[in-house]
Amino acid sequence: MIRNVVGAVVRGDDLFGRERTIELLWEKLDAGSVLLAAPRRFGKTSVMLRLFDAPRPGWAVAFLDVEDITTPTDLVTELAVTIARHPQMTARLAQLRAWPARLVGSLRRNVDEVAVFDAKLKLREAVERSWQDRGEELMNALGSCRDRSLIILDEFPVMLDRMARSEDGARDAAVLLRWLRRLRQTGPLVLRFLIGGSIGISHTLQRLGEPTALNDLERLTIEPFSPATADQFLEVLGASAGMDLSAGLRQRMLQMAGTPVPYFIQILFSEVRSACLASGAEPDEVLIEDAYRQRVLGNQCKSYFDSYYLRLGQYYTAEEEAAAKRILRRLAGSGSASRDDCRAAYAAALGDEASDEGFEALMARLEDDFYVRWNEQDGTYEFVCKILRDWWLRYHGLENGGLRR
Amino acid sequence: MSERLYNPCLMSDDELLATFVGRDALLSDLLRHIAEQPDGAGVQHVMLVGARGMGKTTLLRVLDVRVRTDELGPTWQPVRFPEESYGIGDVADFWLACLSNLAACTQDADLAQAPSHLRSRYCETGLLAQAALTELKDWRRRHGKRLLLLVDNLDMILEQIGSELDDARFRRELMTGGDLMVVGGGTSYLDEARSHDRPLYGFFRLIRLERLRHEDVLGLLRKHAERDGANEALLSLDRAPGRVRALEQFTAGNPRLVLMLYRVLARSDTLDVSRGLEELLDQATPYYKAKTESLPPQPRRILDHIARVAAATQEGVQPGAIAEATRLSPAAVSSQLKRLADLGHVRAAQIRGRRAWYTLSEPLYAVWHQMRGGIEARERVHWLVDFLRTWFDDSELTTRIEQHMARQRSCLESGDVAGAREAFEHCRFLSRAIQNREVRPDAGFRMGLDSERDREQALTDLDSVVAECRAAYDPDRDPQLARALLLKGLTLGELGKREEAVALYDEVIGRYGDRTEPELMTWVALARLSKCVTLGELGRWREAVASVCAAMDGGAIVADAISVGTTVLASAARSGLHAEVRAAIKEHGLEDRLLPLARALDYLATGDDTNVAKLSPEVRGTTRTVIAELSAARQG
Repeated sequence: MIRNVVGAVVRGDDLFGRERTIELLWEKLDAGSVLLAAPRRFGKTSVMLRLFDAPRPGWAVAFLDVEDITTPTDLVTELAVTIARHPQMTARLAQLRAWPARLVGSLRRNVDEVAVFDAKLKLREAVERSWQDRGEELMNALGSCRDRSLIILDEFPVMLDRMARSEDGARDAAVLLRWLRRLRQTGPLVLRFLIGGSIGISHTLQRLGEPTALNDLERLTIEPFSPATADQFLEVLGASAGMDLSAGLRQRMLQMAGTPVPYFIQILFSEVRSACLASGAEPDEVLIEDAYRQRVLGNQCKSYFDSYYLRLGQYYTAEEEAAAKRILRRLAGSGSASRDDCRAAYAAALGDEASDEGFEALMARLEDDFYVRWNEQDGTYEFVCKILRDWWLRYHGLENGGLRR
Repeated sequence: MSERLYNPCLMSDDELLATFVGRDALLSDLLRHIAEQPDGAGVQHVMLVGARGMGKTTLLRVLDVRVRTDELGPTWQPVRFPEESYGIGDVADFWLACLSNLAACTQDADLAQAPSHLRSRYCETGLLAQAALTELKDWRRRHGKRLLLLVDNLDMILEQIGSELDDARFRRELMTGGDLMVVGGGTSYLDEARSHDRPLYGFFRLIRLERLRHEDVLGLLRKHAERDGANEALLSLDRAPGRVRALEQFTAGNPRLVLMLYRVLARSDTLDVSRGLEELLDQATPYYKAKTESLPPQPRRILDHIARVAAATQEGVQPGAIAEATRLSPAAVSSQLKRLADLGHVRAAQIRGRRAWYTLSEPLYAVWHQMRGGIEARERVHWLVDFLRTWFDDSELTTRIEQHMARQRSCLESGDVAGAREAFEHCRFLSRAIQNREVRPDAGFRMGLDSERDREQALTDLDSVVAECRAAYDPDRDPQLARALLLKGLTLGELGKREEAVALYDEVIGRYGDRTEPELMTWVALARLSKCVTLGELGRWREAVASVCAAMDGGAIVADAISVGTTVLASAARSGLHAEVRAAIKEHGLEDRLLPLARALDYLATGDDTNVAKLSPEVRGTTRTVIAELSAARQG
């Protein structure tokens, strides 16, 4: 039995179909640190938390969501608190000679939330005097044991992006990146980092002037399910909810969802279930089709995909935006398009300003940002998932291209 | 028992549970969902989304009661937020509010002190937020219960917070904290959730509150009728199932509106249905104003256009026509229509096989919009006639017409001219609602009908009556002649032949203005008022002002004269005749009867607020409203 957890983190038995991804992650971490990338709602945090919940023997894993952290001092302080309260890691902090022992001890032993908070505030003052030194001491303490330590930093690119918006913050972010790189390269061999990000980190690193800061990390992406796994997923969801989903109905649902991204499958399942509850009827093809057209494309996924549309205006130049929209409209209408056809759409948008280099860079960016993918077999570009294509066709299929004024 | 349509929080637990209908499956689903949440990180938070009046607040309250009193009580502590939390401006405020609300729910006096204590100790938002959250976690540790935050208007709160960093802080706790679960309510999908790069996007499980189904509407009405001991209403529900469909149709299955309409119809003498419906629209004004004014300008313009067209044609509008009328681009209109449909304001209607027609989701909204939009009085009648047609069958309508006619005769005999006029107006509405033309009563009421052909036929019939009366003069037939002339004038007015209508009103006034027989006085008074309105429609304001003052001087039908007169004079003032209207009010000694209008005009002329301030609160309020309207007209 599993719950249909839509959008939130999935723990324990509710995490379905990610065994291979997790296996692959451990393999890569064995060799070095990893950058795990996927759009929001693709299950990245759930996968990372599985490593935290079920570490392999010989590993101690700490997890920290850093999205709301704004300075390196806060990062080191939060790391210290997390490690101090981690049952496997806490003992290593006994070696921190330069740290206020009383405070560290208070963090390690106290169950009273208020006391822990007070200790953290005081600890921050101590870290602020030199966060790099304190941080290095902390990481060296972790590296003093035989067991390997994995530090998971979720939404790291978002933290960097926020820091980069101010001059001081950008300076801090650049220093932090260099410091982390040095740690990874010269720090304890038993120390690993898993950095998770849901926005394009390359763009942020470019802005900070540190394009190579993370090139020592192996990059992994969260992939959609295989068709067999997706079918099993739906079957289990249906059984858990007391819904009779025949093989035929499951196939129909998966056809509608297109690329078997778990989040989309879950949304479709959730809407079909809601429709059944509302009407008191059992699921059938008509109800499923209706749920997809009226609810998934009408409600849930609209808010999700609105952002895909809007971010073209937020993060792309005016020329890139115009060309991207024309290409995506072309792909929405035809389903797929050859490189030449996409190039033609690009040229139609930009006229004399079109260039081969610009086209290649744009397509690479659209792939990097999870809009499109290259189908090697057919030699065409297509939307990364069918729901995105259907949404684009429905809401933006008739727009004119052209430069934003 | 009390009923709180706008404030379910004021109902007792028992009242609330006794009247909760239509969301039982959803409630069970939510309770099961709460029970299944893991102890620790990975909690799935929920957002209930629905238009105003769909029952979000009621559902949150019922959830509160059920969690407290059922098997979830030992492990979950509901923390109910008030419907409006205007004071929450950042994430620290949110957690502090949580502390205060928790203290209130558990009646913990010590905990109630915590927010002020923390505020005095921490200034920086991030630290204050962490400190408040720490107190909540500490409460959880000490009491062994997790916190179920029932947050009404969560979308508004997050909009008030409006900070990406605060959203990230909020998200971190919701995602990994495990100490609490949020069930929020909102009228729209979180704008926060629309942005791919925003922390909370896609974070909540969204549950849309759908319109009530037919059986739910029926169940809702039954429960209320049983609770109220309204046996007549119960019998009516059984005898006339079409009425439930009428309620559904007009309210689009919105529970609040269903109940509002039910209350009016259940308690009203059927003779007062029209007045009751007007009261309903008055009561619904806060609801519809909030609904409309919550929209940004562009979708509001589009909604306004659809409402106007829908009210006139009862059909719907195509996006192309909307774009042309509003001078917005087709792409913008298309995008806004989708958003309006998502929010439940409009729906795509299939008319003549095409889908690209949009109409309002709630027909009652179109009616309200008509009433507020300053449409000519006769156009407002359409909606009432539509409703009467749906609510009553032809035989019931005929019975009611006969009752009204009897009442009119009785009023005339007793000298109750106001009552006679009211009965006369009721007959007009009811007559228009009759669908089977063979059943319609005599030509005296066969006027103001919907089609031009019917009106032309009515004129022909009335001309016969007038010719007959004139051919062989009989003073006993004077009332019949006066009525026929008046009805002919009204019908001509509805056909747009206003100059001819005024001439007929003048004939009635001229012939019978000095007469003292009650029935003739009724027709003369009606002729005067109709003349005022028609002159206003012709833009002959100065004559309209003189005419309405003469009507009021006549002393008959005082209440109606004041109502009509105020409307006409205010319209004249909006057209720039402030001085003339003020002078006319003074000349005819109508200052006491038209006090708000008189004071408003004085203020606009002199800028001196003294006399307005001296008025009683109620009159002062009315006066300020008139001032605002006249000022707006002046600037427009």
